[in-house]
Amino acid sequence: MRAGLAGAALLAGGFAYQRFWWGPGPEALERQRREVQRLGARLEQRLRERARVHDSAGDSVLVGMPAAVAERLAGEAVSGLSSGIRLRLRNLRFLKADEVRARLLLGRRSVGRFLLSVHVHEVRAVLRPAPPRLSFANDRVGVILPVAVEEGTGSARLRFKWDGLGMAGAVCGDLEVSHEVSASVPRRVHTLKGALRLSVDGSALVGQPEFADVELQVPIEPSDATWRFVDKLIAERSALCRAALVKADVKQRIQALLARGVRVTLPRRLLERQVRLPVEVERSLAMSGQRMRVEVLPSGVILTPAQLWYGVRVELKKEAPPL
Amino acid sequence: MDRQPVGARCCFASLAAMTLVACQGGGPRARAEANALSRQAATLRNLIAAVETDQAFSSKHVTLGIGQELVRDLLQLTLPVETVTAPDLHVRLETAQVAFESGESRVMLRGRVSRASAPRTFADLTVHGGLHRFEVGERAGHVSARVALDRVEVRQAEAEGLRRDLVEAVLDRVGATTLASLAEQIPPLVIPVRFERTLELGAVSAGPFEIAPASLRFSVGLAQVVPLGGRLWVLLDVSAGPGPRGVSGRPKAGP
Repeated sequence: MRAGLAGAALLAGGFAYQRFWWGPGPEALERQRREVQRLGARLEQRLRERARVHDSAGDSVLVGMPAAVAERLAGEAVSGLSSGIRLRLRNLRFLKADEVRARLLLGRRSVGRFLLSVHVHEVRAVLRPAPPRLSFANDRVGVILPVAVEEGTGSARLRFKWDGLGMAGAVCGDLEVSHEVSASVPRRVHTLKGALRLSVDGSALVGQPEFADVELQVPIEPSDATWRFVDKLIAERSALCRAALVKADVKQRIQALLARGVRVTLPRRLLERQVRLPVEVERSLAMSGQRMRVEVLPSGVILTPAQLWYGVRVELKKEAPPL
Repeated sequence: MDRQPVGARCCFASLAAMTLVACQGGGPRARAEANALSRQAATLRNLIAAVETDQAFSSKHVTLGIGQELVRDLLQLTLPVETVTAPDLHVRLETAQVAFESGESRVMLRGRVSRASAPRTFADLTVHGGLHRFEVGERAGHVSARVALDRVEVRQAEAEGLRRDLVEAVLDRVGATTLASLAEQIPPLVIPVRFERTLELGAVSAGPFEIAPASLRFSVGLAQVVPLGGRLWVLLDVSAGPGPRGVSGRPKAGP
């Protein structure tokens, strides 16, 4: 009986020893190895399906930038450049001369001529870029960059000259007034379209902006004080004169004159600053007291709609000690 | 009288079974490998699940794929490393092999162990380990890692004849402390890929337009490291924000 129990205990012990301590046999191990290989292959396949890894056997270093990250970084960079692009326009002149005709007792006749001139001393505005939209294709990153003209202010001298003709001339006479006014630049969004052409510069990936000159229309909006001045100018005249000036519609003409605004060209060279991807391979390194030269052989850039891949071959060479 | 042979037969059967089990392989090495394979399989299953739900290798990260040959070359530069362990074993590691497969980074350092008192009595050995403690340097923006060593394997004893006692001494005494001491001598492996932390943009003016000088600051954090397909895939969280002169748009006054 005791021997039987001992035998059973030994058998159980043997089983436990084999199961928990002695470890698996070659076949079981081989099964585990195959399972790990299978899972590894499945993981790689999943990553390739999602373009999250890239095959490039010869490249020591691969840098992958998803389009979503590039777009987010570009947006964050643009937000970081809080000062924007400053625009300063000086000494602009707008001129409008016209004849005012009105229906009188004897038919439609000229009641006067006016000359409206606006001398803008200075207009300042800020062009503030919004987060861009990027698209990856071939060797270029397409860029659509909305730019808002905002925070615009200015000062101008408004001059209004009226030569009354006929009855209006008799009651209004000639009139010449000028007044300093302030103005603002209404917010307007322009869309700049261009691209970054990618190339390799040494060990870094750079994007060369390709934008054309951009024509911007910068409208000017006179301040409320301007309208008060015009209203006062008209109100101070006699009834007949007022009727002639109302016919001249001075307010609307000032507004129309300035609303067309100033056409300015945003020169391409302003946007031609090279953009460097902020990751690059070092050209030398020190390890265990040895100075090594890192030879970098860029192997190319691959752009898919979802991802940018940049690969380099790296060779470590011992640096010659200084003489 | 009748039972005795039954018990003896049971004992015999048990011993035979154990012998059979022992003959089927196993042993401490098999157990260690089986445990490692189980961990690897679990890691891979978790990674597959994470990739399928866009939690790993997601489109939110900048990816670096570092080839195992480059890491091997970098590690090789740190060798040889050597240490003397009690009572008189001299361990010197000279060559490195690196493999990044199936979610595991494997480092194999080959060298020799000899009696400090009798250098011509030696055994070739392989020390196994991996990479760990990955980080992105705050100032220089380099990705670095440390080597951890965790297992010794004596390949063959040579010279002056096979010395069984030396092999046993190595397996007995080249323990965790010695391995830690060797690993400590290997400096952090710095991957020669640098992240610029700041980007300075100079002033530009053209016609009535002017862009003030500004700077951008990039913040880089380590999201995940996955050894796979012969590469170490390092996933980084990168974000950009205004640098020291980004807010005002003007350079800060010097001291």
